[in-house]
Amino acid sequence: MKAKNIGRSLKAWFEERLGLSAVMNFLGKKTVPQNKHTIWSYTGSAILLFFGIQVVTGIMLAFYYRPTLEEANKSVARIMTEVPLGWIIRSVHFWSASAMIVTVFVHLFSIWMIKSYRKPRELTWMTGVLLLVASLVFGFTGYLLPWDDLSLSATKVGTDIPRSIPIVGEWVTKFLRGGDDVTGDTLTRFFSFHICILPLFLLFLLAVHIYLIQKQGMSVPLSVEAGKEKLAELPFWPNFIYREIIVWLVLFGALITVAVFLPPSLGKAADLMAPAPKGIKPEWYFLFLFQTLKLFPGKILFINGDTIAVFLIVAALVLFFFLPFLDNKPDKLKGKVITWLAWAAIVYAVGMSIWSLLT
Amino acid sequence: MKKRTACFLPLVLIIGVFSAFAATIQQPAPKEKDKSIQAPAQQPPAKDKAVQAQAQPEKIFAAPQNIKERTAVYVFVAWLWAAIFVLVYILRLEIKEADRLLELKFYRDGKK
Repeated sequence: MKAKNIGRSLKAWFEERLGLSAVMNFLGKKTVPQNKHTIWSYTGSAILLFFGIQVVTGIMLAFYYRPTLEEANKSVARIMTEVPLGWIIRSVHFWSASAMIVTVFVHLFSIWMIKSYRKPRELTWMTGVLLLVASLVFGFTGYLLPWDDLSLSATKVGTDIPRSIPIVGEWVTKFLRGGDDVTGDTLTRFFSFHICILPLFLLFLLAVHIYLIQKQGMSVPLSVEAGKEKLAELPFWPNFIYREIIVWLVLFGALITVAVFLPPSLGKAADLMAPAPKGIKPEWYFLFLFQTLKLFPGKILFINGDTIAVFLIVAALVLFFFLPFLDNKPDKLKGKVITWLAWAAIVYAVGMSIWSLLT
Repeated sequence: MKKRTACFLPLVLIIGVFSAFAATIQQPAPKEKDKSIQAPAQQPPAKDKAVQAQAQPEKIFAAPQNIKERTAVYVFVAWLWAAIFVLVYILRLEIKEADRLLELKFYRDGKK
């Protein structure tokens, strides 16, 4: 009885200061539209799950990792062989990074297909694209941290790409590397990006993205918007959250299983003086860009082939970012073209990635 | 009585997962592998880089090193999936109940 009273007064104390009942009220009244596209909304929360796992395992790895030229590879080797369960933690971090990028891609492409980016959700889409870019940069900076032959060479190739951009290219490459070449300074720089700057940036974007989703609500099919069909809704609490928990549990189980049975290996420490090893390839999510760059010849007329390739990639990214302004209202023909473009992008990315893997 | 069992079952499973997890923590890492990784630091200064490169393993594969550790990991994964299946089963029952109450418009007055 006494414990119950203490519990009640503690609750009242927190309530007076935090006003949590407003949040609980909001969650109690919040509904989620139920339609054939609802399944895609689970990908959004899956991204959050994987990001949370990344943060937890990242902090655990940071206890042992040392971002210096001499110690980086050794410390990762120590995590894998000496630290209790270190190899599983590293493996979970590795696989959840890939899983997060897969779910971000699936989430964005599903939004593209169902055209949820249209008015008034333009900013939600744009923050989503920035989240994708941030996740890719996360992957890129994290790839160098084990400091083995392959990661060093892939980073050399990756940081060399901006060099082909006229005027600012040289500066961007120097900024990324912290000098003319990939050295220990690049490693510390990438580590700072990976554990300080990018998480802050990603958390800010996530907060804005989630706020916008709450503000604008989830999109509904056009027939419902036009009032031709009745809107079916599901309470967020508890009906929808229970379903989400099931998805999280299954994804978590799958992630741990993959991490246990397919842990990543570690190559020998990178030698700055050694020639680049054969078969340098970036992580799978950059393969399609890597293959695209390889397709371009050294010179097209009098312009550098790489410059044209980089220009085309940046132009595609800008178009992708401003998609809500290109397709701002329902139009049957435009809608079909946009859907076909989405399919073409998927086929291109998958096709190029497979080609890159096979060659 | 049934409900009480349903409440305790996930708890037992979660304890199982943690004990399996703890079992994997208690396994010391194999000494031979440690030595191979630390070897370059313990050796006297090598004559040239080639000797150093030979001393360092080409690739380190992360995996349970002995049968005890491997068994502990498999038990952990099995417990994890058992816990997930039970939790999913209970959640499905909860969803059915929540959907039934929604259909009956049980919370309508309270929520809107």
